[in-house]
Amino acid sequence: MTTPNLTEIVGRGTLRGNARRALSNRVFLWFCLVGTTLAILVLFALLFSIFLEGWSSVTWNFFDNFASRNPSASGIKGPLWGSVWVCAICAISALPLGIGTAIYLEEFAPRNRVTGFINLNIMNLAGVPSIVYGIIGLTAFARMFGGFGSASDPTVLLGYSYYDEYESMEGEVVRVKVSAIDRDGDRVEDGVQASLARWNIWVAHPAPRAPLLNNTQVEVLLDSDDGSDEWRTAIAHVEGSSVERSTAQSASFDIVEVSAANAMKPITQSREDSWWSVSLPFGSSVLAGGLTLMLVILPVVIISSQEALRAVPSSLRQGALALGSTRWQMVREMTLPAAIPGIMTGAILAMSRAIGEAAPLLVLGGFLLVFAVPENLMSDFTVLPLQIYNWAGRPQTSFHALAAGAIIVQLVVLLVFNGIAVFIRQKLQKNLS
Amino acid sequence: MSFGRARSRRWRDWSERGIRWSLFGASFFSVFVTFAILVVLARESYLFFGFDQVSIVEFFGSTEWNPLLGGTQHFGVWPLVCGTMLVTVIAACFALPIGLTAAVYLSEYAGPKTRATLKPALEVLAGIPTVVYGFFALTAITPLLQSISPRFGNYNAMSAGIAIGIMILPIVCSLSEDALRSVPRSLRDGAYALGGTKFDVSVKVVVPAALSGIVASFLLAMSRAIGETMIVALAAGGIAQMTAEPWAEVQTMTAYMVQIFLGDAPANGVEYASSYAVAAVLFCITLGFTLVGRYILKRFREEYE
Repeated sequence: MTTPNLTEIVGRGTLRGNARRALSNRVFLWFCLVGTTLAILVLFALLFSIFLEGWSSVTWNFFDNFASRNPSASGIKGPLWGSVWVCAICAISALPLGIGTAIYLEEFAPRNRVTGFINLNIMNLAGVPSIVYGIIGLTAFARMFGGFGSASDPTVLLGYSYYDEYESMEGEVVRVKVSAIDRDGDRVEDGVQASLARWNIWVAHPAPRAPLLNNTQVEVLLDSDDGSDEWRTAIAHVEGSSVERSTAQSASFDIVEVSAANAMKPITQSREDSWWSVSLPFGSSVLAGGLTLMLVILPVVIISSQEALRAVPSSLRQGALALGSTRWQMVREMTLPAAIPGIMTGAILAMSRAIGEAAPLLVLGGFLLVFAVPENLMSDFTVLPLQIYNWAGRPQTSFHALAAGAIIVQLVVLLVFNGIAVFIRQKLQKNLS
Repeated sequence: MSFGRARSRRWRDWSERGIRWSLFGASFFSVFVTFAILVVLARESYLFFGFDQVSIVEFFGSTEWNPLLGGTQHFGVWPLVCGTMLVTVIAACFALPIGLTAAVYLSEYAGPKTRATLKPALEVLAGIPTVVYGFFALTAITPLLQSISPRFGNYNAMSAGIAIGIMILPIVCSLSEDALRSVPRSLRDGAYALGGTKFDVSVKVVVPAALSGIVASFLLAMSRAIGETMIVALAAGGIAQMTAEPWAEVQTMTAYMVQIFLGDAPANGVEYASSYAVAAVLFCITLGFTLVGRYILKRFREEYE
């Protein structure tokens, strides 16, 4: 009686199974390798294409020129300084608030429902899209819920002045300073002439409020028709008595005089204020921009600081408390110094997020062509990502090269930030456990 | 001597209390921010539904979104939601498989040296501003797609979707990898002891064990994709329509808000107010994703000792 050799059968079966499994193992390894390589390749393709396109535009003039409609004369001086101002305000407001929150939640808070709720709430805030923060910033900071009058009443806010926009008979866009118009005896504070032209608004939007009085002499800004950046100031003479603004789609302006001094050159901001002067509401100023970014990165700062504090071994705390220190003394002398490298790393990474953020600032103030470096908290601004967005969105390839150049600058700044963060993580982090 | 000591002690108690309260105030600020978001969105949406042209029924029932053009305005939010979903699904199809395989590779296969080079590269990818991806979509991905098929227009959902996919790839990868690495060694050892290959161990043991974390990372990445603004504003176009065609031009909720706030609409008008209602919808959707992700993480987490 020949019985099949049991070990032979099993062995054969296992062999076949083993071969198949070895194959699937190898296939999967290749699959993984291809997936990972693809991810890395994408990164290199991205960096390479941008570098190729933008390298030629990164020159010294690129850093020293303001934006212009002429690509070869364009630069990033305005957005660069705007980014510096906004990020400084963001850091000053977000870091103390975020680190304070983390210290409270990790070191002081009792483990109860309120603390749990605050923690959950912070997690959820981290998931809110940044554009929603932009809307909150617009409503809460730029307009202050409409509680301080009129930043949103007139159509355009340029520099410190509110302008209404009209289209003249010739199709020119005319901006009339609101201070020239009697708004039921309620005069808007007189400001200086605008330094900025908003690129996108070529269509006139008459605001639906006070009438233009007949024969008022108003100061207007004229869009020059030769396609250059400059706006001219002119003294205009309004005709058509008390035209309701809501119907004055094309109020007739009789331009009586173009002031030669300002003709054909950018009007620069000339308000002499200290850098910290503030007026309410904030409007689309660097202050409002910085505070809006603060909202965006606050959850990030809090969560990373919490993690850094959590990583401090509790034996340090117990030691401090056993020696009779109060909670705050313990935090100040033991926990915080031990957690500072982690907190700093998180803070720097959060700031690098703030530098790259464009959507909330787009909502806050639209895109501005800035011809001046911000001088105080109420200055208008634009930031690097917004300038990139504007250049990238244009059809001409010469602007795309500018966008790529600005991206290179942005990426170098981010790389420096990341490098500092990695350095701090490597060098300063002591092993305490 | 004892007098001075008592006074300094009282001073210390007071300062301790003051510091405690100010830190509590700082942490309460985040609650206040949430409150402000809810109040602002609710109030402005309420004002929006107060306009004559709008009704809640139309907003959630109609499939026509036509807020700017003259004539009859239509405010049905579905085309915007549909556009957002189309772009998000494309991004997910791109990012979730690649992200997960890269995570499995990093956590199960790669040696410490490979990981030490690949992880920072992914971190760099995560730190790139989204406007850069938008530029990349517009100037590199769209021409590539057009060379493949002429059906792709200058603005299309596919290009934006792929760019968003690249953007969320590091999020999927690093969060999934965290989940995979938190699976205890003993499970792997057991599987190897039973004769499993590396493939068997990672796909049949480690991935299922980390599934809740992986799904949560997917949801978090999707919520990022839904809220992404600059890429779609640059590459997806501006036509709000109900379509599932990847070569079509679509408008997402975020792109619509950008269009409004860039000055296409007069302030105080109904179009302007509509952006708040759209923001409220966006907020609810992303909040839903976050909460579901958190619930899955909590409810389905396998507890190991």
